[in-house]
Amino acid sequence: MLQIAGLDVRYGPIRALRGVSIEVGRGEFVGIVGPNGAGKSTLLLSIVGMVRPQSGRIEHDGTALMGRPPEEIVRRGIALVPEGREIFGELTVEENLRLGTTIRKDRRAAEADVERMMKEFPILGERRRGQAGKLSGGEQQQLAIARAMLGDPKLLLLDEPSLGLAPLITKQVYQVLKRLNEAGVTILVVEQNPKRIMKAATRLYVLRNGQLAFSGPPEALERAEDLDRAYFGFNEKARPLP
Amino acid sequence: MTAFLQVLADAASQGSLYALSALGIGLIFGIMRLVNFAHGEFIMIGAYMLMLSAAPYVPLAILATLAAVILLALLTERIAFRPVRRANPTTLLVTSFAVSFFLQYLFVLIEGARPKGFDFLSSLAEPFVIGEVRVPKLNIVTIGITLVLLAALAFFLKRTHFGIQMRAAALNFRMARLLGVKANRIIAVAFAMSGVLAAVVSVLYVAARGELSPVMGLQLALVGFVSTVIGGMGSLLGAVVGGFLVGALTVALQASLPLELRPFREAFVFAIVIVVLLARPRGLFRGREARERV
Ligand SMILES: Nc1ncnc2c1ncn2[C@@H]1O[C@H](COP(=O)(O)OP(=O)(O)OP(=O)(O)O)[C@@H](O)[C@H]1O
Ligand SMILES: [Mg+2]
Repeated sequence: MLQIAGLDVRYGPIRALRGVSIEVGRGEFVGIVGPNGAGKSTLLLSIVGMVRPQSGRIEHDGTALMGRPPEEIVRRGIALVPEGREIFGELTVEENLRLGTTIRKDRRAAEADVERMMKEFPILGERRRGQAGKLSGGEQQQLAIARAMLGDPKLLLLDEPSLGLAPLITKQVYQVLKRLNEAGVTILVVEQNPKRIMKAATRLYVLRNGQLAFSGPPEALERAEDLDRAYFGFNEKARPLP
Repeated sequence: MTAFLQVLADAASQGSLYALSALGIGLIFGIMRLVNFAHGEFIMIGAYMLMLSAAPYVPLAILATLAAVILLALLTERIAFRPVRRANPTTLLVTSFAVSFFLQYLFVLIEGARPKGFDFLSSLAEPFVIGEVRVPKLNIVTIGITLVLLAALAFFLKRTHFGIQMRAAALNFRMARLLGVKANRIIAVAFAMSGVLAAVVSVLYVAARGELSPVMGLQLALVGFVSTVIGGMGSLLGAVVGGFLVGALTVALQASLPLELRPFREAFVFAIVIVVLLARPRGLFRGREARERV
């Protein structure tokens, strides 16, 4: 479904991604973990066309995505729930959901889906006329996911969906993602905290300093020291401090 | 009392023109963070178009003016602003000044610098008499058209899907694009709408003043800009209220300043604006919002 090969992204002198290659198959639930500044957000933003890579290849169902504008890429069925959710705080909950249907052609079906979504996430239905900015963090995350889903994507990208959420709320968010995945949506989630994603994902990548440090099934990282090694790079011989 | 109502009617119609100008500028600023000083030239060129096409049939001339200014606004966006859309704010501002001066001097070249008299809809100067208050019909038409336009714009922004997209783009253009909102289309429609607003001001302004000149847009753009600043950059309601306030202030000063100071009316207006901004640097509307958030 999604193939990325040899991706290089620079912000001026900063090399945010160096030769990153990943692959996501149809129906998979793939996780990418990595510490602050590893390049996780940069990777997702490159896929949706918000960041322009220096070199490499991004293909979606065999079509090259690089150089296309985001509004074209979302129309191919790729949605991003960005870091920090980015809901429109001054607009109402309902308006936020409506915006999710922007790319839909069948307006009537889209309107029906907005109503359906408000039943599926009852809190959004209750607060439909309220300002979205007044929702709690967890509610905003639900809104952001619901809004992305209203575009009817086949591939859903999420940037740190658990950021700032209590463990219980995070668990609920992942239950939603699991349900979506079972309904046939391919999911690629990026997280700083690997705990939750290791349980949910069928395949995992570890990104560190803009490079891939590990890829494989989450079980391979189950032993805590393996994870530390991939995550923090402890496998490099620790140099004694001078 | 009579005198007061008289001044009030003047203030409302002057304020209407300012509010419409401010709205045209505020709309583009909200979406692109661009202060479009060429908005004044949109108004000026609309006025010339009206003069050139007025002869046979007035409604047709008004339609021609609308079409010409919309086209001008769209062309300006396409040719001048789109290539620098991603540039820093200073570049945008310089571009906007350049377009403004270019159009102004182009018309000095074509039409000459001197103001031209143009008798348009002068029958509307006749007063409408309510008791002792005599309000020119044009003032009532101006206020009426402004209210209709404001209502239509509010309906468009609140109730239509495209309007919601536009508000979303003004709040967070990156996120709006991630949801599939087409940047080019939103910006083009915003410019077309600012063209409609400018053309309406062309018609009403010419009818009120009975003359036009290549520099006539300068003051309107400046007042429009100041009104958006007072209202709070980025707030459309603020732009409208700011426009009416500056209009009211102008008329009130006109009525109350001693005769020998009246030519400096604008200087007083801007002095008061500076005082307002010293007290509320983010403008009347934004200021309140910011306080609520803290
Ligand atoms: N717009 C930008 N301009 C300059 N540098 C940037 C920009 N965005 C990201 N960077 C830099 O690129 C590197 C990767 O950033 P990125 O946001 O992709 O990391 P991340 O893995 O998402 O981190 P976090 O977990 O903190 O969200 C960092 O060094 C960051 O400082
Ligand atoms: Mg990030």
